[in-house]
Amino acid sequence: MTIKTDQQQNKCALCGKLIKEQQGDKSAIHTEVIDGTSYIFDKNECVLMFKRLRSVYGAEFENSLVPHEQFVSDPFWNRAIPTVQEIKDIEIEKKAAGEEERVLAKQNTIKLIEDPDEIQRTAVDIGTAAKDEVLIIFSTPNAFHRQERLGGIQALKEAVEKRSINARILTPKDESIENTVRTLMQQGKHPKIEMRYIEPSLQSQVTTLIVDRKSSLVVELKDDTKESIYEAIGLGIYSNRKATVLSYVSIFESLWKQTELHEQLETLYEQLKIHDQMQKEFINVAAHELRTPIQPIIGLAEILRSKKDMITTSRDVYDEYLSIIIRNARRLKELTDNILDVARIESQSMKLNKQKADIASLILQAIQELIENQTNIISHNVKLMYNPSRKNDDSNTLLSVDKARIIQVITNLISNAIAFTKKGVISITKETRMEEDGSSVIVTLKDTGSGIDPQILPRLFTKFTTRSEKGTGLGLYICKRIIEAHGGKIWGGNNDDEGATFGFSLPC
Amino acid sequence: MTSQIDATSTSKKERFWKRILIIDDDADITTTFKLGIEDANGDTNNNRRIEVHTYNDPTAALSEFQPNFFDLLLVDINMPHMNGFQICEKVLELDINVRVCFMSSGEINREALREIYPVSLGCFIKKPVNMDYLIERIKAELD
Repeated sequence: MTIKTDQQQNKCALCGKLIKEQQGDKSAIHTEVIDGTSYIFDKNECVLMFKRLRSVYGAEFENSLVPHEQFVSDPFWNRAIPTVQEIKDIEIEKKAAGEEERVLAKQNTIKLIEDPDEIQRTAVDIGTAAKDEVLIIFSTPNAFHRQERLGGIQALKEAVEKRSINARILTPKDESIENTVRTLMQQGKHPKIEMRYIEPSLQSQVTTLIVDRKSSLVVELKDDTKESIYEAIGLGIYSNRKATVLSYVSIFESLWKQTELHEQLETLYEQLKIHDQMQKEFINVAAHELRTPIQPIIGLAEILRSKKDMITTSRDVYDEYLSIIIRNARRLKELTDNILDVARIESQSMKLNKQKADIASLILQAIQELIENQTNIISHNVKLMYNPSRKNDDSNTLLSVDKARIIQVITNLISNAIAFTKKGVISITKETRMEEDGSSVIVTLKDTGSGIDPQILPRLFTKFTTRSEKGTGLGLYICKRIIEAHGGKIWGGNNDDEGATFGFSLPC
Repeated sequence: MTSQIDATSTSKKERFWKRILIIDDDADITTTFKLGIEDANGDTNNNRRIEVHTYNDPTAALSEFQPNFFDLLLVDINMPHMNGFQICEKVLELDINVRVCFMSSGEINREALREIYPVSLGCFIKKPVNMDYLIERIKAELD
């Protein structure tokens, strides 16, 4: 391969190509003498490389180039040429990046960035450099989707999980964002990404990124219809000046707080709607219940008036009519009392008229009234039993209670038991129990009836609980309020065998 | 509560002009209506007596229903288990010629109701009702 033998062919010693001898007037051949031997190189392409390589590898190069003739057909060598270029490129890049880094690291800068590529890179850089917190406000749903497509959201999620950073994102909402949020929130054990939705009216024209409350990047939205971020965004402003960054933080926190308030409002509104609905239902039920007994009262009274001869001819029938009228009138009274009670309780104007009374005597009074009223028809198969406790309960525990109200509670409980028990026993007990925080009187009612419908059980003492055929579903609710106003507790449940047991306690 | 009048009433000397079926879950109301309607024409010379059958349980009423027997159905809309419209549908299936009057003591939004039940609420009586008015409406419907 020495020139001496191939002189005619003019092959380049470095790359082995044939050199065009003439390029205009100048010769394309460069001759170098190495160690006494003359080599020709393609002046245009290879001389420069040769010289560089020589300067990089020094004497070694010359030694290996010449004797071993490796480089011409050596694949490594062929690769070496581009690699050298790569090294040079990297060195150039590093230098440039170093400059940038130095810019970012510099305190108190504001930098206007025009190149969308650089904007995105800056965003990623400061995002990945985050140590505590990342705050983002997206301008539009599409802005969110653009970042999603670039993998930004995923990268943030990973950063949050791996480096325990807190991330909060405010974004306008669309259907697919809602789904994404749901999946984001579900994955990961400690979801530290919180996302809230911005109302459409509060959307902005910039997307804001704030990291560690030390640096901010605000990016203009140029054209939201574009899919690629490079076409969609305009200018970006990076800052790590305290005043600027903190003012963006303040904007973020205000919006964040606002969405929280908005959510609270929505929840309250929903609750209000439900409450309103319940009120309407209550009125409907109450109206029906009140009007029903009025019908027989009016009807039979009118009939009685028109049949004047009845009084003398058919006394039994006459009496029957009157009983029906009286029974319904009483029912009407009970209903109006219940409804008024509920109204009073709701508006907190129920006053207790407390006096010293013995519970045992109140129980007896309640039973007495029930028998007299005949409002509740006790089936012949049902026995009503009252057993004061067999323990030494001689002490007539006098409690300070509103007598009428407690009788009301007892009456209501007994009436319920009667309504649901076709046969068997309704037994009432009373005992005094000593506890650490004082003693209380406990009254229980156990029946052998059909028991409480399991569906109603959880709502037993609430308003509008479904009732037996008659009633507004208010009785137990009123009982609960009365007992609790006395500082006591009321409960009810099904027995293991059959029937139900209700009870209440009153503190001494 | 099943009907107290047996089917042989038509052979009694007092021939009934029309027969009414009343279904309402409140026993006192059915008693009152029955008394009021059956006595209605006692004083006048008009021999248009109305025979009343009452039921408090719709299921029993339907299972014992006889076609070509009743001229009018007076039914409460607001009942547990089965409402007046459902009963009306079933009765009309059994006997298409029965006239229907609806009663209610609740608040009724007629328009909203018509959307669910296209049956025209031709005869609609609000409870509580005066016996005279009730009888007037029934007679008008039967004529």
